Amino acid sequence: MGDEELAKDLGPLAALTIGVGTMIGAGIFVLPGEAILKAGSLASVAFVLGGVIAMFTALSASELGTAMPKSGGAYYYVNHALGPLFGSVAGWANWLGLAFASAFYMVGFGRYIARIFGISGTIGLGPVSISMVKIAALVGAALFILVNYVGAKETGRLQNIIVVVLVAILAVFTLLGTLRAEPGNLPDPSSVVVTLETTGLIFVSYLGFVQITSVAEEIKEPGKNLPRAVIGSVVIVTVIYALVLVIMSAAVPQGFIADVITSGQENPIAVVEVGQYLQGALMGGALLFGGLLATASSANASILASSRINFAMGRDRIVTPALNEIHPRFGTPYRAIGITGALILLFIVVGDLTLLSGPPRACTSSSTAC
Amino acid sequence: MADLLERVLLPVASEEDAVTSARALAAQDYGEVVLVNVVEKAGGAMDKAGVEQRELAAEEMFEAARAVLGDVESDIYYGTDVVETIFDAADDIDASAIVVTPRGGNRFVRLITGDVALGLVTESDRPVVVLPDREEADAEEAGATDEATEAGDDG
Repeated sequence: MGDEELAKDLGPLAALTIGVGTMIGAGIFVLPGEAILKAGSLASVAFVLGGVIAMFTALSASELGTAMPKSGGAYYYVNHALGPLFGSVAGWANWLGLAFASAFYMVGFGRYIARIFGISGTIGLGPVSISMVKIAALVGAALFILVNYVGAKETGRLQNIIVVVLVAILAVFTLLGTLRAEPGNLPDPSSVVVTLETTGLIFVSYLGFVQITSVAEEIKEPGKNLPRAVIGSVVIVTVIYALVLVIMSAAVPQGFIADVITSGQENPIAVVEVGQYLQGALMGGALLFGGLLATASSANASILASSRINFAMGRDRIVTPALNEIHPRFGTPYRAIGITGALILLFIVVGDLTLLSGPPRACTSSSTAC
Repeated sequence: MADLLERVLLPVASEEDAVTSARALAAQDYGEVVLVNVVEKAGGAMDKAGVEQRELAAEEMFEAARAVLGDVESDIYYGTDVVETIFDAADDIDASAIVVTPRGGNRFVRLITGDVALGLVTESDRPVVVLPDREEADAEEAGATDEATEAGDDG
């Protein structure tokens, strides 16, 4: 029987990993150093605050996702509640936001590649020069776009494994880190205003859970599993962020993070340095590997989610339905993925890390990707 | 021949494939036909495209085939393995044969997409009839009339 129910093959764990996988890449592996530098001991407060704000959105997203389990998620709800004007704004913002986030993840990915292979510096191409990190980001992004363009179904399953491995690495890191934590190591807290600003900077770390609603139609028993996945992923991720941030600031001597970031070393990655300091090269390597996987899985999930939003927008004629053409051989929405991919590459070329993650601000040091 | 094509399952994978396959079948003497499109699932992970999107695409394929074959039955199936799902569909509708037209494509494309026609022939548990693409066949050997018939004998 061509049973409609068979189309719903995402179980509770798979739905949860989409949310956790999309979020965790940025939060742990890209932003913590910056956050600690800015907010001091209140950095984990900034992350918890971000989690609380995200929870409000998560509650309404799970309510709406249960009521309307449709392709397109947030765009679909706004368009059907408030009409095409707000729908367009939400759709475009959501689409561009995902392309932006993917570019951000891929720059993080580039930093990990650069770090692992020990490459650094910049290459001059005529009048412009481009850093090795960005080159790695561009190559990585091109690869993920290609994989989704030709549609390998294995990538999705890989995502589940990646998330489980990541959570395991972070659990070990946190447990071992706890043994070394001393309150005396905590850096001075900064002011409430700066903490709030930091929350703004790191909020990108919570952008993933909404993607669960964009695949709502594929979730088994969405009425039960969708809210659990959305709320569960926000809770899990908030707890992980807060714990890792506490470890990162309490288990290393005061000023360690600041030294890492301002050390003049190219592409410093705070969490990796802390892991290496606390538990040796093995943990440093595991975190380096984890960061690579995390940023990759975040980018991959974002590219997949954005094609759902394109589809929903095309169906409502907010963008041309021609975008939704399915590739005759690959069975993928290749035009939507191609355009999103071009946007991602463009954002990588023109943007820099801190610009991508939040409101423009003065660079905190000369060594980050400013 | 008429018995073999008494109740045909005609899998369609794209609009173009639907037209090609329908045209190839229309040249034969057949009984009933059921169009089937398989929506490939990732099996517990995010799919490469939304389900709703591919259901709409499937309806377009069915329309394209109906333009050639007239008003015939159609059904959408979901599965992680396209070949296996087509066999399941054949069981469901009690097909006398599965009819395919090869879609060509170079080695690289086949490597990525998997060769469904090859899978159907090699893993077959019921007759599989491979019909040539009429348009290509006509262009190549304009005089030949029954080039398609010998393909059905191995079923």
